[in-house]
Amino acid sequence: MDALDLLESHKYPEAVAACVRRLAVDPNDFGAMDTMASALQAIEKYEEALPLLERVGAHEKECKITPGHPGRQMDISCLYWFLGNRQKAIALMRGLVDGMLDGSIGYGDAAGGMQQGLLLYYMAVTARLSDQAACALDYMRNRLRRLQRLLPGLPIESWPVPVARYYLGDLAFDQLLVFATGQRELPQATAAAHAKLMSRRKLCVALFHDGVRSRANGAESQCLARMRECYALEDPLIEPEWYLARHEVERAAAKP
Amino acid sequence: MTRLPRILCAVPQLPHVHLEIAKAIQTLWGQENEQTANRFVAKAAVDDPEHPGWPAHTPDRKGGEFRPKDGAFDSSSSVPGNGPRNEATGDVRVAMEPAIDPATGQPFSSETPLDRLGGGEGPGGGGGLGERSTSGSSEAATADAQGAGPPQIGAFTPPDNLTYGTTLFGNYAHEKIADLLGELYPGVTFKFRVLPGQRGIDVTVPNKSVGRVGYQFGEIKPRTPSGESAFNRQLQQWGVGPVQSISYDAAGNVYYGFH
Repeated sequence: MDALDLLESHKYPEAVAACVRRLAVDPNDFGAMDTMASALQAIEKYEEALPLLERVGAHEKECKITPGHPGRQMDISCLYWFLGNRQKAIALMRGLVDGMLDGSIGYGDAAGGMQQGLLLYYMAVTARLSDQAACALDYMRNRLRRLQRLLPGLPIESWPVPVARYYLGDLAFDQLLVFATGQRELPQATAAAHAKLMSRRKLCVALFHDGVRSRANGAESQCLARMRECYALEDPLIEPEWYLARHEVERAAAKP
Repeated sequence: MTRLPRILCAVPQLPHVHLEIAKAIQTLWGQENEQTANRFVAKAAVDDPEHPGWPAHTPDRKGGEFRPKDGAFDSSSSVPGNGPRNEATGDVRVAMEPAIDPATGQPFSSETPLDRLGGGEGPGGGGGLGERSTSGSSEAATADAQGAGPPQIGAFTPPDNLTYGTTLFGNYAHEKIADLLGELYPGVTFKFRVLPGQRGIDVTVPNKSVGRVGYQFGEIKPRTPSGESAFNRQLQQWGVGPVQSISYDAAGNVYYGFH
């Protein structure tokens, strides 16, 4: 098994060891750095993951045919969040939002960079920064308007557009579940997520942000319940939301 | 010619080697036949916005002939699909199993060599300019060797009110192909170019997933002569590789490569 196979099999220490071996042969093996950073994040060794992601991100930003590539700023922002540096985390996430708006960032998710808006909203709500939360919601509206301009009169369904529409009151939670998994009820949605990785990724995001919405409405116990449901899903290894949910659950458990 | 069998005996008996040999033979001996003829007998493409043509099987034997630029026809029904097509609406449909490298029969891994990809003069790039657009992936190599055209990776359903060759159709295709790539490679975090018309390539793959996907960069183009020309022109400007061309036709079929 190669390092990525080991990572995807959730054999994180073995994946790290395999990456170390590859890096011993080629210190500039960015694939190995990338995989190793993911494995380290999975085992909560955030400080060790950080320099690796910074190197991978810098390498991606240097590529001349992808001007405006954001590198790994989103992952790095989350690492700072886990490490307790919320100010830095929010500044980096806000930078991704501002960069998309001023055109200095030219790459994002299939929805035109919606994810940083969703994550900024989470951070802002959690840190109780109402101006940042308002900025995040404005950004979601901006992204939706942009898509509507690009595709006038056409259905806009690229993920995670439905999550933004849910935040903005345009969709109900059961409708969000349908977008995520094709199922309207959570038990069936969870079963679908077990069977298909993409459904698991989307359900993880949907549950997490439903929790954030509860937090924004002052319903902290509902928020934590959703975070636990999100964390109970098998780690999709990609979505920052899963790691953020784990962080929430562990912090709640550590409280006296 | 008589030396060929000895050469064949000297190479490893692996499936992907056979495919490469088949491609080489096709290139060396077939170029003076059908391929050369096709090069000089241009047919009008149905979906070419610059020089549109009548689709195959058009009554009065018009198929392949040029049609008036403003001559309307139902493009969505005029181009027969080249692969499996689910008629469900509002969704993308996957038409291949991306986890298996057809050249080796093994799953893609981070160690999968990239020198089979088309495009670019940089590390990992393979072949010349002509190969970039036709065999940008191992799947394409397989299809070329079998003479089967580009591998179809999926499809989307274009809305009835969209016209192929327009900016709006292109925007819609880019959005749907982004969704399709996500479905094909659910373990990969793709990054997509946000604004149409912006500088830069359409699709990027993170370093750790390049072996899984088979390419680091992808460019989405209509499956037309002008789309292919634009792709090749951009490759020359970028001067790096490898780059996978991802083409779509008027019916919403999506392919790796153009031919």
